[in-house]
Amino acid sequence: MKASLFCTARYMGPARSDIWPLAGDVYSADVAQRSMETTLDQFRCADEFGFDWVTTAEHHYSAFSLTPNPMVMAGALTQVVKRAKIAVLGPTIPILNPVRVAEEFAMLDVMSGGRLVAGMLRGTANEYVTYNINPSESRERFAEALHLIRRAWIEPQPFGWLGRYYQYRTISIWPRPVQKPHPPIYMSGSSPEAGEFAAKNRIGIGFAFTTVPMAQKAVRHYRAVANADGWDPPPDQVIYRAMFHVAESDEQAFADLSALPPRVALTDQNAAISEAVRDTGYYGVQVAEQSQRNARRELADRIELGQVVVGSPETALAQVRRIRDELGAGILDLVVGAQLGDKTLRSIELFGTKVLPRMREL
Amino acid sequence: MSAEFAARRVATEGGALAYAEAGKGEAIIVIGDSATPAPAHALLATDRRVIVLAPCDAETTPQSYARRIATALETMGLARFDVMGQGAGSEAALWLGLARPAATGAIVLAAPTALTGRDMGLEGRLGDMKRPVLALFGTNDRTAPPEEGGRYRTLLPDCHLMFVYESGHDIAADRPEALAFIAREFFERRDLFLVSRASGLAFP
Repeated sequence: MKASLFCTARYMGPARSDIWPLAGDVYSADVAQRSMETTLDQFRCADEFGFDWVTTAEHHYSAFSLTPNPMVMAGALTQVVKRAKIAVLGPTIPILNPVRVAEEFAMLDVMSGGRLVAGMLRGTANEYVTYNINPSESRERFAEALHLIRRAWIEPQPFGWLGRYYQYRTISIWPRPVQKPHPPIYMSGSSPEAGEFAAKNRIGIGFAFTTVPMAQKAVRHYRAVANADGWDPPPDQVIYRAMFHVAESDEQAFADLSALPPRVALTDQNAAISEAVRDTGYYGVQVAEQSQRNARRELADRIELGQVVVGSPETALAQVRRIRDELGAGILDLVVGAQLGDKTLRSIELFGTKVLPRMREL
Repeated sequence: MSAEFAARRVATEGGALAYAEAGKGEAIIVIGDSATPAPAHALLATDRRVIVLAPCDAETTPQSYARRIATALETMGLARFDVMGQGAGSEAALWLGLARPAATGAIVLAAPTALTGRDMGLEGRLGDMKRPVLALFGTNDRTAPPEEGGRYRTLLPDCHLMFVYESGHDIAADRPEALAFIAREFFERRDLFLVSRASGLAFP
């Protein structure tokens, strides 16, 4: 089993984390710069201590993440992270220009020497307000954009695209990806619709801010559809994301973690948007079940459900083993408790040196 | 929107040539896998004269069929026309463009099988094509797969390649609005169709 470190590039100054969009009147340029530097330090640390991947992602109008364009952060990472793969999980492709996404991914693959992992996501509900895209079109836009991006990577001749949502008269991207036929692609596998699409298109899946039991059910569906389609996804085709913090002892790790503010999911930070998006059919057939992913829970429950990995290296390893055994995921994408200063760096070091070597044997 | 096609015949040396016709304006000659007009043809017939020919029969080569079509079009008094070749009809469409470059405006190929068809001599002649060609391939087409598209672009001196998302082999039926839209654009503007004229203005 492999590990990735996910930093959202959180704004480290005082700012509300329960409202979207967040007003800029509390924003400090100095704090933002320090936040970026801290993020790069954490990524650098993960690379140094053996993490297999580093992860960046797209979110808008929030202190939760200062990477509205994760491609820019990934570009910086190509120069800072020397060994680990760089996973962009991902751009929210239904709200973006897919040709631009194909071009930027190709640039990153070249700049990183073929270390790009290309996530393509639908994003959280609020993202659709950002660029004024109707969420009811999300799934269809996603599918078309993904096919277009893949075609842009592999087609040797200039070509036009006559889509349902996208139209281009000629496309011929430069540079082109290093990895052949193209970088590995991952998408969210949380809903049955998504899992089916991924399986039929031989794409890896990822789970973020869900629970192991929910992910387990979704992985079974993904694998069943893949098997029916004639292939058997290896463990590396499944990414599971959990928050993590490791310290010398369980007591220290729990104490550190309790200093962090409670997380309110971006989806739940604006009730009107949440309701309006839900009404568009954005969540597919499992609306009620999907809303459970972000339900507020006590820390003990979150650990039990595999949402948080916390404790000493021994404890953390046991929790990781459970996730591996119950889910069969090959990649654990660990969300760093970013605001703990040196304790964050120590957590990354402890995980990399004490947990990761034994985790590889799982 | 929909146009009524009328069944007609025109005499040629090789016998009467059956076709279906609708609309007024500059002519589009459709050579396809079927003599039955598709929804895309009806859309084109709203402002163009659309002539849908019967497919080439098994006893006739696409090259000689193209010669018969050229004669028939002269008989019909058509000195200028655009050509749409669909599926196996793309062979005769390309031969027609090669045989009558002065009369042919532009050529649209929809899911062409011209390079995998029975006319092996066509490939060697494509470099002589004087007319602009737009080659369309459905992303779900297994008969004329998208991977074939690059060959047309390489062999034809002025060929634009375009993929039609979520279309199978019968683009005229699967994505009629899309096919009619892009064919109209290409016939009207030829190579200039690369530059969009669609307005991005949200509000004046």
